[in-house]
Amino acid sequence: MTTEIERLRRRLAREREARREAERISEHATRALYAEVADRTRELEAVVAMGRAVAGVLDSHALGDLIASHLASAVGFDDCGIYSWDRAADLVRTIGYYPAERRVLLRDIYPLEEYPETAQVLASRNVSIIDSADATADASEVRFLAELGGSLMFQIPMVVNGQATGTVELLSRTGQVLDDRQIAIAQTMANEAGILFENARLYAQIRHQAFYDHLTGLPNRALFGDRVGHALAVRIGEDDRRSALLFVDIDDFKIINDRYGHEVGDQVLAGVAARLQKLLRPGDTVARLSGDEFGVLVENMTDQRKVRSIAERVIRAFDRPIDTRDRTVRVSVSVGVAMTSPALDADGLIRNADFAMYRAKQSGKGRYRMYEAAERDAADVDARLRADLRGAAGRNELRIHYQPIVDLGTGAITSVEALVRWQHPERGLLYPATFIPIAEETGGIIEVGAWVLATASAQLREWQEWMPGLAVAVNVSGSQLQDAGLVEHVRRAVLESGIHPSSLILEVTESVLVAEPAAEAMLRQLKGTGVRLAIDDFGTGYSSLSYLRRFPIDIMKIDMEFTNEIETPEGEALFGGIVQLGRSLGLTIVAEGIERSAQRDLVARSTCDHGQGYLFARPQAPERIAKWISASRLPDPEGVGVPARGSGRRGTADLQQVAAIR
Amino acid sequence: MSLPIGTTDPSLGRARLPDVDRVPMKGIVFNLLEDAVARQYGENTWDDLLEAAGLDGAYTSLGSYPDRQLTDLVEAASAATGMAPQSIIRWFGREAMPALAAAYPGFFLPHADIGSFLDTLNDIIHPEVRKLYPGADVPTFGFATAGDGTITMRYGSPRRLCAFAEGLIEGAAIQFGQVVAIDQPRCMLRGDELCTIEIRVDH
Repeated sequence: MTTEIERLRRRLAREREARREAERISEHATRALYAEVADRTRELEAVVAMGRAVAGVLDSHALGDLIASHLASAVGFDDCGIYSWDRAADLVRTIGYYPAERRVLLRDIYPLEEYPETAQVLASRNVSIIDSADATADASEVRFLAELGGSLMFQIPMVVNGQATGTVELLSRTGQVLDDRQIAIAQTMANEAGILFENARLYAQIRHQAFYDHLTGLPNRALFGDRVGHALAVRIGEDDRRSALLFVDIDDFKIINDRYGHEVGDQVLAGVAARLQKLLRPGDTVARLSGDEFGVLVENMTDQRKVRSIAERVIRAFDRPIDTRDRTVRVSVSVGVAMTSPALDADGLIRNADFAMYRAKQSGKGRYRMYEAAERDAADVDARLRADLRGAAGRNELRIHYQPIVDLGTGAITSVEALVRWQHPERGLLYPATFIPIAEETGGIIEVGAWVLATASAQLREWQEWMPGLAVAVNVSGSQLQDAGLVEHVRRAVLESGIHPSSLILEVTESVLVAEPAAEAMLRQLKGTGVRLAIDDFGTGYSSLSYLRRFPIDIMKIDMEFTNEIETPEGEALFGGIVQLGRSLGLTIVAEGIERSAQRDLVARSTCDHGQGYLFARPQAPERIAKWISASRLPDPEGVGVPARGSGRRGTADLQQVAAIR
Repeated sequence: MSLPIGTTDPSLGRARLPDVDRVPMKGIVFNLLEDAVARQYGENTWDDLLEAAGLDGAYTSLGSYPDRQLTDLVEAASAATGMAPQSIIRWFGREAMPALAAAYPGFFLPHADIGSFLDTLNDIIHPEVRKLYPGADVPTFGFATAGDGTITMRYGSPRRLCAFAEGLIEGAAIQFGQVVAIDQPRCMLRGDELCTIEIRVDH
């Protein structure tokens, strides 16, 4: 019985002891659980803190340093480096380090062939440990560790979508190790970092696509405009610190494209981009603005001579042809240069350089030109006029003023020269010098020319009521001579007005006759309609005189330059020689630009029989001419009216005879 | 050195080094032994065994106790009964199984025979045991199945409890209504490097 009680007592003690042991274990487990939860929470907070810290950070290096610092603190390590894997180049790039001041100890890139262990981590996506005490550890990795003063390093791959994108390296100086859970948390953060870097990379790529030209890799117009704007902003108020903008355009790029195809064209564009880039200083910007247009911004370049030499270098850079894959292509560029100025914005500066380039192209290809405001103003005005000129005849804005040509013997009017004027609704009366070149350029000259022929002919018909022998001279330009419709316009003017064709004189300048090889054929056709032909501004064409014989010319108008010189002995001799030449060819001679009576007397003495100039009359509105014609005489300009030769004024009947100039 | 993420490499980490000689045995093993002894021989016999082995015997399942205490108890039983220690351990394995099957039916229910049950030992059962009994040092077996259906398990634990494994396998077979013949061509107790346990299911 005693033994039985004793046995039960022992059994009870055993059970009590077992219960206490179980309670101790339970308490311990509970504490461990709390500690575990606290650890996990801390780790989770580290991940969340990292997420919060990097929000909005899109630069991969700023991101790299931030993530490195969060990773190091999450696992309580001294150092953390972050490296991105460039698969194509077989290397890793340093993108972040904590502490940042030790970043200088690192290289920017590490070729993977020198770091087999890192390569292995990337290939296997497994964590690796480099222990400098381990004799079998890879020597280059151990050296790397030593350079940073570490003894142990955990390499953790960043894995995004199953692909390694780089590594996180946690480095310990004290031999401190990571346990499984710390490795797991570091891995989670590394993968998270991988996604952040991937996003930063995509952002950079999208940014690049938005601001860079895909074909040439150069900044595009948007980024160039931005850089120019920035250069202008910095320079505001510093007039001595200017920058230059070169607008570069490939000459005849369309022909290159058409002839060799777009693929070659694209290669040429890339080749041009490469050459332009090679020419420049590091701070300068080359951009592709559009199609075959490039922009070059040269900052802090005030010396115009240096700017010119840069422009010349750009032109000369294309002395050598461009090699494309299949062929060698000869290329030239035209360059326009504009300088910054405080009043100018980026668009304005680019426009100015573009305009200068356009002028360079006009003056011939493979040249450069500096922007000049006056040219631009003129061009702006031209552009307005060009638009206004269209339909000016239809809107009744064109006028003709007439300048009499007189018989130097009698002082009587023999013919009038029709001179076109444009009554511009805003700018008032415009002279031919202002708008005829524009009309020539746009082709509007054909419309204007036809209108002048018709109007002058109709006017002449009216005046011939009083002065039947009167003729009218109408100027014909080079482009009109090239227009096959001219003969028809002349014929119709004659027919519709009812004048005799011989009373219509077409004046062609000597320079046009010389420059237009086709002029001869056209002149013969015109001659065939019965009109008379005059050579205008004779003596200014610097040409062989043989054409005088070839062309069917009736009248020679000696340029005012010779009239001007006639009061010197040499001038008089020269003038006389020209008159003799004309006479020997059987031409009627008219002296232009007679302004003084002394000139008139000398001209008359040289046996030139007709004159034109302010001495007799300026070009006049038709109403005033009508008055004179109805009176059959000009008012005497000097109140003298004594002819140098002949027998005084004649009546209307005489004028008729004279008018048939021959 | 590369490790797959999340594996427990015993050479890593702080205070994780499993110095085999010092890793104690879980209290659950002693509880199972007590149950088996008390069920077949009465509670007094367990008291006698503890007394004979000189142990106080306050075992709680989650507690950890030196391996040596199991050896002491087996030796005491051997002395009292004249049975060989390995036979006692084998008997213990077989007798422990009904209690385990009652406590953890989830490990048994998915299986129709001992073969597929054993297949889940390394990957399911032992990992679960580690969760239930933190710090439990369960062995890892090598498995091979021959053409005639003979299952070969390799066992290499320094505890050298191959007899316990044999008993557990016999007991498990009983749970599936099967009878197995077990043979050990190689055994660490006979000086081999590993134990090889061959299991043939008698049909």
